[in-house]
Amino acid sequence: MENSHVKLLAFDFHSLTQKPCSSSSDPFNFFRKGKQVSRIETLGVVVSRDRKGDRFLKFLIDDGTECISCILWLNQLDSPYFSRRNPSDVRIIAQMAKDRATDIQLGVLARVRGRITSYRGALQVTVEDVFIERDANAEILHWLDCVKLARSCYNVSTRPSPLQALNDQSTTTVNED
Amino acid sequence: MSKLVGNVVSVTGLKKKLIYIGKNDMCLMFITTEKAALCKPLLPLGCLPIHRDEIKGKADFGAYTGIVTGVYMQGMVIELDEKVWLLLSDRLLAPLHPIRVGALICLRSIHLVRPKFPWTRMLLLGACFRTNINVKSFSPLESQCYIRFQTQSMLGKFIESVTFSARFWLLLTISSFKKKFAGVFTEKEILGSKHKEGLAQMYAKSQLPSCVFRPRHGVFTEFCNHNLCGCDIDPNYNNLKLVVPISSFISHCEAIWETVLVRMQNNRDTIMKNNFYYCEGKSYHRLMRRIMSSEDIGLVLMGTLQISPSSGRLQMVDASGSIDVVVPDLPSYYDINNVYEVKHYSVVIEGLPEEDEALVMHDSESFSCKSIFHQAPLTRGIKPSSIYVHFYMKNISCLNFCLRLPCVDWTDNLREIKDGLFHIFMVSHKFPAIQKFHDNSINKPSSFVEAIILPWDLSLPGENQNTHVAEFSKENLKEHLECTCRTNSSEDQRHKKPKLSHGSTRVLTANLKDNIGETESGCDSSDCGTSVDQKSSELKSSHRLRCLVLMRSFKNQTPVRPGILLRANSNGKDGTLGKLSCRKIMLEFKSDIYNSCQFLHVGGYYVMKYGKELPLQNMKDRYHVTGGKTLVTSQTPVWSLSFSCDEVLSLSEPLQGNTLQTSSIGTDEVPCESSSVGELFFQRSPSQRPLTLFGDVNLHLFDDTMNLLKSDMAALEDGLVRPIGISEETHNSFTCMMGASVLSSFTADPDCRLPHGTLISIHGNIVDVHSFDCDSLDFKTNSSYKGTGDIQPTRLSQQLPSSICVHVSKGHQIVTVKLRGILSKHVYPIGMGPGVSATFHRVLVIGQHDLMLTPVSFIVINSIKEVYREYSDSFRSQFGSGILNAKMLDIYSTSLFSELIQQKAMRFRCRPSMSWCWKVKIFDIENSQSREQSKAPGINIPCAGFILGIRTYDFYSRSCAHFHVFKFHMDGVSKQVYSDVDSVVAYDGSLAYCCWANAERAATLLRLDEESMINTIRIPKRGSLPKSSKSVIHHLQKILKKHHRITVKNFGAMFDSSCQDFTFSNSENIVSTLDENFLKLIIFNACCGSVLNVIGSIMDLNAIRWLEELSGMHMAMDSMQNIWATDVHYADHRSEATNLIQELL
Repeated sequence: MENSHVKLLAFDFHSLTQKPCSSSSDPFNFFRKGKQVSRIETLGVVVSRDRKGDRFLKFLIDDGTECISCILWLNQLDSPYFSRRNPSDVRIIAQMAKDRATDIQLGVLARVRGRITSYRGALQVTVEDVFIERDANAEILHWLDCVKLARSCYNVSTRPSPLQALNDQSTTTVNED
Repeated sequence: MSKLVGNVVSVTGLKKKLIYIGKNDMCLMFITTEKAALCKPLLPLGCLPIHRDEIKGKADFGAYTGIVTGVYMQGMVIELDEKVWLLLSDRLLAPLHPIRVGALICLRSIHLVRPKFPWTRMLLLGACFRTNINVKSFSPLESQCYIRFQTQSMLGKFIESVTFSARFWLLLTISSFKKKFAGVFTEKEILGSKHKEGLAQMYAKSQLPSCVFRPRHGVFTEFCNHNLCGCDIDPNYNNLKLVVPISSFISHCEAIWETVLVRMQNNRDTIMKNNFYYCEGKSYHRLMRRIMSSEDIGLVLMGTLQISPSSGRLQMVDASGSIDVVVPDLPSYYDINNVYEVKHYSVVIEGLPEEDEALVMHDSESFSCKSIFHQAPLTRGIKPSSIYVHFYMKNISCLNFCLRLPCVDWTDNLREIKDGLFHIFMVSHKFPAIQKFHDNSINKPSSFVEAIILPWDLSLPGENQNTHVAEFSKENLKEHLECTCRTNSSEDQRHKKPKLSHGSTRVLTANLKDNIGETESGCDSSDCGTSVDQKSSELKSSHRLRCLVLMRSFKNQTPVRPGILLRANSNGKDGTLGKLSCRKIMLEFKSDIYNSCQFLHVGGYYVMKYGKELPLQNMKDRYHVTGGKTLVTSQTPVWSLSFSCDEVLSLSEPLQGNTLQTSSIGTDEVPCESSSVGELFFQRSPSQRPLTLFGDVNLHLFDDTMNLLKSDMAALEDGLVRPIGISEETHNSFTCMMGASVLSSFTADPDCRLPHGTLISIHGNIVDVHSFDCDSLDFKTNSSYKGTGDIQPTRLSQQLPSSICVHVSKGHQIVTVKLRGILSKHVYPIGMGPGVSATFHRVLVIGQHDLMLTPVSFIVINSIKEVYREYSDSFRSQFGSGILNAKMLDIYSTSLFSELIQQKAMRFRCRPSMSWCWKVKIFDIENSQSREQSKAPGINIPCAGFILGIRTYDFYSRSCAHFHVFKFHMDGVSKQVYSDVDSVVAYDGSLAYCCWANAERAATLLRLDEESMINTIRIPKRGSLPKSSKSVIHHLQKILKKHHRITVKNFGAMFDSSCQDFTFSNSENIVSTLDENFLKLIIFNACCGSVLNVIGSIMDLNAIRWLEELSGMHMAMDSMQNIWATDVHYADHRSEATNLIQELL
């Protein structure tokens, strides 16, 4: 689960626990039921949008359960984080980020993937990529995907005894309603 | 005394006497008297003045010492040292008690014969009255002793009357007969009695040349002149083939197959390089096929021809076993009790190139005689997947005459066509048999054949009237035809109308209809023939066309009789028949006459008698009604029909040989028997005209009648699904058909989940056949070279129906199409495999190069070729892709990656998250054909211009086209494989899979056709936005042309798209920054696309190796598993959600 983009509903996302980590890049590790997660995919309607010049765009994704705060960085060209990278790559990345920022308008249905980060104790998503869904059915499919994945994958114990596996499946924490 | 043989003795007191042997020969002999004494001299041998008598005769007289390894045929045949055969067949040479298995015996004065049989080479020891058998060591084994009863059977005398070599052959034949006919005939019938010859003797008499018979003399004469007793002067028996039980024949073929494998195994590279093939991420072995002629084998097959109740295939059967046979000229009716002897045949052995350390080299060239005398225990080894025999009915002989068995000559059956009116129809399609072939089931399902009844009828006047059944000879056929017509000329004058009277067609048709109705009612009466003749003589309005009817016969006599063809007059203005004139019916064959269904060929013409079974027969508009079903029973037999006319110069030859050179029919005929060497003809291919082959009944027509018939047939075939060959044009038509099918799928019921498309028939060469949803290799076990896509014999026989993928190509063209579908065991035709020319009737076009086998599809094998090591490289083509109809995807259920452990083709809904390594390879286009390929049609598919150019990549052959592979990481879900059974938790660390795709699928993965992509990408230099996906593709193509190979590698973080760090490398040119940026844009954009549905399966180890070799990348470094995407398309959220909610509830 560490390296994949887990599909979580917002309420589930907010229930993630943070634990401080010694690593410099990520001050916190995030856990869901004892399993570490680091990336998330969410899908919902953009309900708020706040662009700070060429630095970043902060927006909220409402997936029907709660809102997830997302941050899309636009400062790749000045950021020291990208200074060691190939300038042409950085230019492309920056251009793509700008294009995405224009795509994210209030009311669009956005599929967002990114890293889970924490800002002043609150969970947020540092956006890696955004795809604007035109089909409203994508949202329903996303909910169902979250339920299915929680049942069949995320909630499954890593070393399941047959009994425990049974228990886990029956007492899924995801609210299936 | 016999113990003294070989020792020096001195005999005294002998009397010299001249003795006459017979009349002419005399011999000086010493005869013992009362004073005679014998003693062994004490002096050493060298000191004695010994003058030994040289043994007169040939040098084939000597001694042999060996261990008895087998005693057969009541001790008449003894095997020594498992290689030498001793014959003790003389009645007076009763086998000694100590001659048992395990004993060491020494033979002196024995005849050494080396017969040159076509089936084996051996050393034969023939015992005569001079022979001395000395047991050196008794058998330590508790083996049996054989005591022969002294009987004076005819067979016993017969055995003694032939030479040693023939005697051995005879004993083998007797043993074979006993095995073959056990249970069918009694032993007495097979072996005969004192006064009656048995079957074996009758057969042997007919086979043995006269030179092998030797008159027998008395013991004393033969002792003196031992050459008389059965020595061959020139033991050359090249024509003396051996009858073997079918079980022995099969084990002989299996031994040959093992030898083939051992030879291959000795050269392991051959297996690795030449016999390993790939199809969309799966590896499989190519089926090998050996074809051997009967001349090389030297064995004769004998048995009855029957349809197997379990497989529905034609088999040659004897008591020991059965073997599948292919008989291209199988007559419609043959007696299943007739015993046939097949001397000229080809045996086909098919199997997979497997390796087994335990394989040992057999002496496969020669047949093991032991297997006839004694049923050898089943040996472990790799068995070929199928063995079958191919022969022509004209080359086999019915033994019922020879064996004096009750015989039903099938030509008698033809003579049953005495008189009456007959339908002429053409088979337009055969539906695959759905029988389950259970003997117990009462309601056996039937087989169905779709046929079109021609508006031509054949009328045969009664024999007792004005006709006679004449015997046909080469010279008199034409005269006969003319004579017949002269005889009836007065009648003709009255009835024969001008061929086409345009003005009165309507009236004529109406008249004909009425008259036919009357004719039929007359036909139903008791004196059918007379009525028909009388009634038809009144048919003034229809065409009455004289012809000669020749019945096929395997004997030299061909019965000839006159007939009349009645043709419904045209209703079209041009005189040809409209489509409506032909009536489409379904013929139902109950399983009890399944044989007669088998011999029907699609496109062939047949006659069937008017009977009560035919529906609508007395309706006036019988020619205008389509549909209807008729039951074919054993009372309404069907005969195949062929036509010939006067233009055929050598009409007699085809009639005798049952093959007709078709000079009169058209320009595109090929001889029915395969022209190329090593090719076996199975069934007429669509390019061959149907009129001329293997007819039970041959109609000899006048030229003008023939022309009329041909034009009618052309009109008839116009509206049918005609098989097409695979070519460039086919591609165009496929594209058109696909377009049509897509349209139809939109207009059709949206809930309908059946695949849509156009039904076509296609003809081509099969390049490969492999199973489709095969199990994959276990990644952890390194057990290579067990091809995963191989169609195992067991799979075929037990687990069918299974999905198969057939690659079909035409000639040496690179163009290849794939057929996929589920094929049940009974539909799976014999011989299906690479190197086969086949026709696929009624397959569904579902993609540009993809066809689907449907439940009504019928496969006909036209001819087969040997597929061995040096299989033509031109067939080593691979495929680009095909776009499956999206509807078809519903047959797969969506799966999570974590469920992939089931290792079969699954569908995943996922998004590309990261391009990992992108490699573009272009090889030089060396020949113009490839260049044309790159311009192949199908541009209507997004990215086709780019993708189609690389459709066939063939990195072995010189005419390499382009090749490219895109690799992506996709992570749909977290992967966590666990197993309740083993409690094994496998964290593979990555949680993602590498997905490999090529061609259109790769284009979809790259989002090359997506609008958002087009909006994002700017064409370098111009800096403008591309107008359409075509310009993106065009630019990509330009880059690819410039650089032969571009390797793109990602050195950045694997799971963060913004951290990708690409390096572009090219061995020859430096990739310009502009091009680099363009490629980067494509890759970056590809990673943030929409949700895709991917159908794919895990690549097995061999496929990964192949990909590594191809791309130059080391995939072993990846901890991720690799998936080969067989289809990529955009997900339909609504239907996905509908399915998912069903799943969750």
